[in-house]
Amino acid sequence: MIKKANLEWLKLVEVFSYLIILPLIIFYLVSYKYFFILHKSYYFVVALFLIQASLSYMYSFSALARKRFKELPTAKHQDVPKTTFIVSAYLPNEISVIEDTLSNILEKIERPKAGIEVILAYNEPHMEPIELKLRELAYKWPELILANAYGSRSKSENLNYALDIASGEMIALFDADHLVSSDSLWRAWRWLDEGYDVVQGRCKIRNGSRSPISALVKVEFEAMYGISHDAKSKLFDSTLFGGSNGYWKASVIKKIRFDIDKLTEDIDSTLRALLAGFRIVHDRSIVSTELAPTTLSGLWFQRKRWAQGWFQCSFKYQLPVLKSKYLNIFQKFMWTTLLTWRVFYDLFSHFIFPIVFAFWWYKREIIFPMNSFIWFALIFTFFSGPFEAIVAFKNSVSPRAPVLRYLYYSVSTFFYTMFKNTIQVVAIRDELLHTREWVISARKK
Amino acid sequence: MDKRTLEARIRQLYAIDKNALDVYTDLVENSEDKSIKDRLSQIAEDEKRHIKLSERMLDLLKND
Repeated sequence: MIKKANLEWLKLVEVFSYLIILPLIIFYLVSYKYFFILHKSYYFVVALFLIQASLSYMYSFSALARKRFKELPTAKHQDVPKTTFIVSAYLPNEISVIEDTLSNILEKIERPKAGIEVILAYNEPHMEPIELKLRELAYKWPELILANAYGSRSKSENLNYALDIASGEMIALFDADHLVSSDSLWRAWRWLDEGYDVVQGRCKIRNGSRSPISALVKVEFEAMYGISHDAKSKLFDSTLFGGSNGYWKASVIKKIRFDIDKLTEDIDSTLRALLAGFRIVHDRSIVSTELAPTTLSGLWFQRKRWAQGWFQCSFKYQLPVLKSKYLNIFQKFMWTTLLTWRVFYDLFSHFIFPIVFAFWWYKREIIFPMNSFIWFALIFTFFSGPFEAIVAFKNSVSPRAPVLRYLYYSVSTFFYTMFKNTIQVVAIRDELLHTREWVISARKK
Repeated sequence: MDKRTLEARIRQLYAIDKNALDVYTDLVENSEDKSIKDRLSQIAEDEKRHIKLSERMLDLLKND
């Protein structure tokens, strides 16, 4: 049997042959008769890079100031209600982190008058190494409910099981490795009180110093939550629920629930909620820390699952988004950039390589076809990453990563983006061939 | 014991009973011996009764 990692290498070879070698041969043959096709294709792909970089600049500029809470006349000024925390865990993989996560909520969270409830939703019937500790914890804290979702095979099933038990009016969802800040509940509730249905908080990486991979992901998360989600919320008044550190009105999440067939159940629930007319806001002042993958293979499998899940959603929701009566034209634009555009961009941006290689082959020498437009596009695109890193640094909250780590991200961003684009393509290949595997991210303290 | 702690404790037990019901239901479905199946069904029914009583108790505490 082929090992999982070897299989992924084979998939990479397969994808490269479709996206690089085959197009290279086609471009080369076509250029002999119709050189203008090669020429136009080159400008087409460069234009794709320009559009993508423009989106990045747009988000970076608009995230320079954060979306501050501004009380609306719709605010009811109700006290924070009883809140249910649902912590979803894959045991035994997440055994080493789960106790800290639960203790952090139970001991540190600022409790509303109406109290809290913490549900640990897990699907492994045997958790010997920590069973006793968890039972002791549940004995000490009556608010802690150990909910074993018998027969569950996925995170979505765990979550749905916990939703049936939850009794709070606000439901906060967390993965097993999240340490949420103590002031999160009142910060989240003020948005729900004035009419939003979901609040997504900011997720920070706390093991950035563990490896070069986690260092990269740490800054990436600062950009993702400090810029991208925040800017979307500010510019378009729409954003996504990212699976963790999300606060829902209980009535809404109990209606939406989680689709057990989706690899990114959070994005699927986001889109079903938006299409049903519910509203999501991002507040980067609600902070929770989590653990990033520390190895390349861990990162590969995590991102492939995300990419495949996004692709499933792109396929399913692009048309409903365009037809939705609840989304305005700007929100439809934003969601199109996240759904169809990202698939289109990831597939076609790779063509820059076969086009340039075909040009070299045709000319029989290695020369770069440059003019003032291409120079502009090159500089504009290359600087979008470092600019994003600068804004991410400006927007980051304590404890800040060292400046050197932002520099490291700036230097690596082009290659990292290409790496992620490649993962997207492999994920698309897997989805089209109905290969769905859930490789659980290992979480270690 | 104050009311909130009592409610929280009942919720803990409610989750345990729900899990027990799921396990017993599964065992009933998968056991072939009729007498064992009957006994397991009785326990499952008992778990259902526990769950209903817990729900009633929670309603009572809520409306109290």
